[in-house]
Amino acid sequence: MHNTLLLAIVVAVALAFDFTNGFHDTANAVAPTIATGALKPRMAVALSSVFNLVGAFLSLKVAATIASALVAQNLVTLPVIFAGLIGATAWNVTTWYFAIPSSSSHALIGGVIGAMLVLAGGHAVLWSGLISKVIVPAGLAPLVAMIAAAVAIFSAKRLTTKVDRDTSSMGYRFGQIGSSSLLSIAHGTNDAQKTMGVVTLALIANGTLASNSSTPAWVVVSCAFAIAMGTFFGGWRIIRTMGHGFTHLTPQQGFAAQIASSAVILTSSHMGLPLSTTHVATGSIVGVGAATPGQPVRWRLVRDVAMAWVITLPAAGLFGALSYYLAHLIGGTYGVTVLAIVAAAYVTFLLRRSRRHVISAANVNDLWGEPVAPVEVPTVVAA
Amino acid sequence: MTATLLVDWTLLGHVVLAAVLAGVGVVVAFSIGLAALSFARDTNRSRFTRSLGVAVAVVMTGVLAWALWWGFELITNKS
Repeated sequence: MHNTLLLAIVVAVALAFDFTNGFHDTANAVAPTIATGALKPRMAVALSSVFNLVGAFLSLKVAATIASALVAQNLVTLPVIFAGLIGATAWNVTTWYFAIPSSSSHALIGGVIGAMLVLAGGHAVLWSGLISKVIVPAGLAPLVAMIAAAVAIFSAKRLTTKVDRDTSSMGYRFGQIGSSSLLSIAHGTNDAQKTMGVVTLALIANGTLASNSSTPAWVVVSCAFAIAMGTFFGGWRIIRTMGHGFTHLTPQQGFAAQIASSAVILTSSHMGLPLSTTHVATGSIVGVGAATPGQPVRWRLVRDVAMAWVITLPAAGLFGALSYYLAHLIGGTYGVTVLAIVAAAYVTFLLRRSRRHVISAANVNDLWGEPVAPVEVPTVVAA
Repeated sequence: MTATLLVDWTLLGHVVLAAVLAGVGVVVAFSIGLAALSFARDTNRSRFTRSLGVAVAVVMTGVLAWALWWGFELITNKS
């Protein structure tokens, strides 16, 4: 059944989610670059934003997986997709508020599956696709990234023992500009695709596209720009956690971590696996820290973040299920509109609360564990 | 048990191997290039060693450029 207004709302919420995805995941590509001083914070996020845009146009395999391999396309409805997106966005903004680098991808997949379970029950979910393309890669990806980064930093250290410290720092800082750009492209090839896949599902659910259709060009362009815009705004809270929270990064370690992450993400994009770029980037950073003798890694923080990863899929699923239940209870376009207003109010509440303890480009590099220097907050008119 | 049956472990194994080799390979190539460049700039070394440093740095730059091109082809060609 065609419902143009509902479809327009779903596409708008999808683009809003894509924006939060870019905002939330800026840290994956730029945290080591900013932490080691290879680039100024603003310059790093601007560069990342441009390369995310480029990456979004390079591959559509992950979009195809999201659109066809996780839920039964013929059972999907617009309110289900809407509820899933609301659940994912709410989870993304909540974890951003608490500076937790959780997975936007798992939030999105969890949100849609949670709503789908309320609508049609377990048979509407393609469990084989969920296990083989999401859950198993989710468990493996951070470990693979950690191993790749550890071997890379071990080799790099052995190869550069006779290089003086200044040359090494300068060389790897220069290399980090390239590795950060490559990682941003990798992020674009994997994460931008997820929203493209969901919008394609919405178009199929509305009858605008036939089942198993490929992603239309306007969806690719709008999603690419939404994630690039989100990246440009920079999720400074998470950048700080990833750049300084887990361990102290040198330019050599930052370079090794970013290259290892890029290799894992680009390879999985090639295979159409929608893995979490956040898990990969975190695994690499922890890997270079753990492989350097005498370098402390904050394992307690690693454990807390890993716990957040485990609960992301079910928590976003719960958000999605509740959202669908509420929208369904009120009914029709009214239900969706009311839920959109509730979600907007929740996001505004968290944004306003976050201004009590601002982390921005000005104080993102303050030492971990020390009080963050206060930042002048310009007066804003409430949304 | 369920995951064992559903997952194509051979494919996943290839992904893991390719990712680790590519990541480590690029970092190693860059590090060799940097070390060679450092040799080339060291005026205390012999002329031959410095020339060798330049040659290795140039080769490693070529290796990195090839890796980038290959990665780009991999992503765009089979999408």
